[in-house]
Amino acid sequence: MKRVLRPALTALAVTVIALLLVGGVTLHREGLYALPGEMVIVRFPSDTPTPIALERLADAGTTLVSVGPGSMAYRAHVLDAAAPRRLAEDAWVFRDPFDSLAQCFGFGDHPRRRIDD
Amino acid sequence: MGRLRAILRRSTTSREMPVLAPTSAVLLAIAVMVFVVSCDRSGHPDGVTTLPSDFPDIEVDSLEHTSGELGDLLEDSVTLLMFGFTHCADACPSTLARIGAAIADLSPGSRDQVNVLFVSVDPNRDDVDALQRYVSPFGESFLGATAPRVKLENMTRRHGLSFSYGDGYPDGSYRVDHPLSVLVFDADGTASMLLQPSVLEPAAITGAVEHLIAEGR
Repeated sequence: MKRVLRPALTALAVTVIALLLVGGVTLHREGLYALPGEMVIVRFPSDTPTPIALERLADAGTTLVSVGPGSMAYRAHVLDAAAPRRLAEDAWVFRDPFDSLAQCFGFGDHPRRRIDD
Repeated sequence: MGRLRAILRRSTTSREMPVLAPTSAVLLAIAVMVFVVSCDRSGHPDGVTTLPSDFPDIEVDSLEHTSGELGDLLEDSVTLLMFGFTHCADACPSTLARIGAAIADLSPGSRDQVNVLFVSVDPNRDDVDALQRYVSPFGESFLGATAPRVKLENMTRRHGLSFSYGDGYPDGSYRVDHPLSVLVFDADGTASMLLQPSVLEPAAITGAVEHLIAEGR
């Protein structure tokens, strides 16, 4: 039984790690090219004061939606298509996967409609 | 029967396991990712975020309002601050209506302790009188204000928010992209919560505001 379980668990662990890695890289790449109306998660270095992080978000061309997940991370709507790449100079930028999932399955809000009046 | 036993035996041999493992691993990984993505929502309903203690306080000195000092009007009250403009087609009126419904549902004692400040980011088209006329139907506690563009940019930037003007239309109007987040400040002017009214039922807004008032007592 052990002989069977060990390779199975190893395969499981390797697959999980690989998927998380691929998922993370994909979300990061997607985040850099997020379009106006789409949502990104921006994670600043932990020593960044909140007021500075907020000003960076606004200056880059995004608008704050919520704080988190975790500390120094912010969810923001993209207003300017170049904003994610500007933010990437001093923060990690990811596409918000929850926002993507919500829109895939047809629930949640539609940011593009929400900001274009 | 013998054949069935042979199939069952074959499906549980060690040779089959490495094939099954990646499949279950993929399913597990998807479950983990969905969990990671959907967790860490701070125990609030989606659309309500508690703000960190060093989030900038409210500052209304630069705003113009129809009567009196805005600072005096907002003193000792919970303030819901939102940005928009009166020519907004649907997002602003629906947000104001949701907030109005939420405030109407507050207990009478709490209702007197709340103000809603609607700041227009379109000062070219919105003067203070027009703004007050625009917000008044949503409730007695609604106040309209605006400021010159540079001051508005400083005010929104301070809270991580921004707005921009789109291309003009043939009739002379133009699109305005503006935040729909609503900042909630406690009676001391400290930033407490960030609301997304577009994804919140009025009852959730009522609950959040009522909770904040109760905390301040």
